[in-house]
Amino acid sequence: MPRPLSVLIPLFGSLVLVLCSTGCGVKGKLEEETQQLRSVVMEKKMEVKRLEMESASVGNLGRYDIPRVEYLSELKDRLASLKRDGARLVAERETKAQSLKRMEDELSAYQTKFPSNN
Amino acid sequence: MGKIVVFGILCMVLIGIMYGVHHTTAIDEATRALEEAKREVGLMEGAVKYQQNVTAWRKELAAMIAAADILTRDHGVIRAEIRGLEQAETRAADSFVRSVEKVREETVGLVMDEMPLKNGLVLKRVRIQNLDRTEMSVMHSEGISKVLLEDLPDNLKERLRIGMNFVASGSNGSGANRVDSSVSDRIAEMGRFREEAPDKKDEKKVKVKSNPKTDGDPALWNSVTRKSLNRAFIPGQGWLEVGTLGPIPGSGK
Repeated sequence: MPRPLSVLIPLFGSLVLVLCSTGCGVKGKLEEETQQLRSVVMEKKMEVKRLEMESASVGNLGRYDIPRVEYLSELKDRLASLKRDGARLVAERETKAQSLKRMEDELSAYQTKFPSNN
Repeated sequence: MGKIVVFGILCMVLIGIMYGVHHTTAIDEATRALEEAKREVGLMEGAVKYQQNVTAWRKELAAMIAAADILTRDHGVIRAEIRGLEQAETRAADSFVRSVEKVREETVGLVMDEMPLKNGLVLKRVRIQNLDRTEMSVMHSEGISKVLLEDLPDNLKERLRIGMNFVASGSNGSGANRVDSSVSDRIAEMGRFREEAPDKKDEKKVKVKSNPKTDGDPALWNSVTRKSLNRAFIPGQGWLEVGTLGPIPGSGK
């Protein structure tokens, strides 16, 4: 009959080996995950840089260069006002053109009906 | 032998404990590194989102600024076109006024077989002698009369454009009675006609009338193109009285 210690020693050794191998697996997994996340961080940094360059390529926007919420509404109002002005100017041009045409037609008719000797 | 075995076991236990501590520490560090990496990923995702918003915002602002610039430029072009149309209208109005003035000048001396007036009278064998802002002097079969312009027949009113209220209506004459305020009023608004305000000629006339003994301006004879009985015609001023009642001296030509 073998001695109990001669059985315990290999058992304990096996346990230590199992624990070691399991522990190494957890650590490796964690390191691998961390590495993946770091590469994601690198990708994100590259994307931020690309976006910064894209934003810079828009150029200097003057007083609107620093983004502020009120600028957007201010510009929207300005555009709406310009569009209204444009419509008014087009209507005015149309009216003036019609007025001129009427006057020229009437002048022509008058000169035809009452030709002057001079 | 037993002691050696126990010692060996104790050594192994010690090694196991040390390894366990070391291993736990390494896993803790790896976990911390992982957490840090996760936090960094979160931050970078936020940074990307912010930068995307900023870029989109700037692009929108740039597009709106460009649109505003284009609209402003277009407005400038339209305003220039409007100015051009206004100038053309002013030129057309001036031309109209000159045409009417010429026709009015040429109307003096016009002979008509009869002139039915709005007041019911019908003048026979009429010759128009003079024309001013409110009335017309005509010589007819029964003598000389002054006729208010508003009493003139429509065709003559249309010809003289009295008050510039009558429109030729497409030159066919069918609309002679039609009062149209479009073009005529436009010209009147522009202050082109002398009816709107007395000019220098009228002022001169008034002045002469208030001082009948004046000798007038002999230099006016240089501008006279036609003469009639006690009247002389000066282009642009019409028929003026000659002698003490008018601005042209009786002697001189």
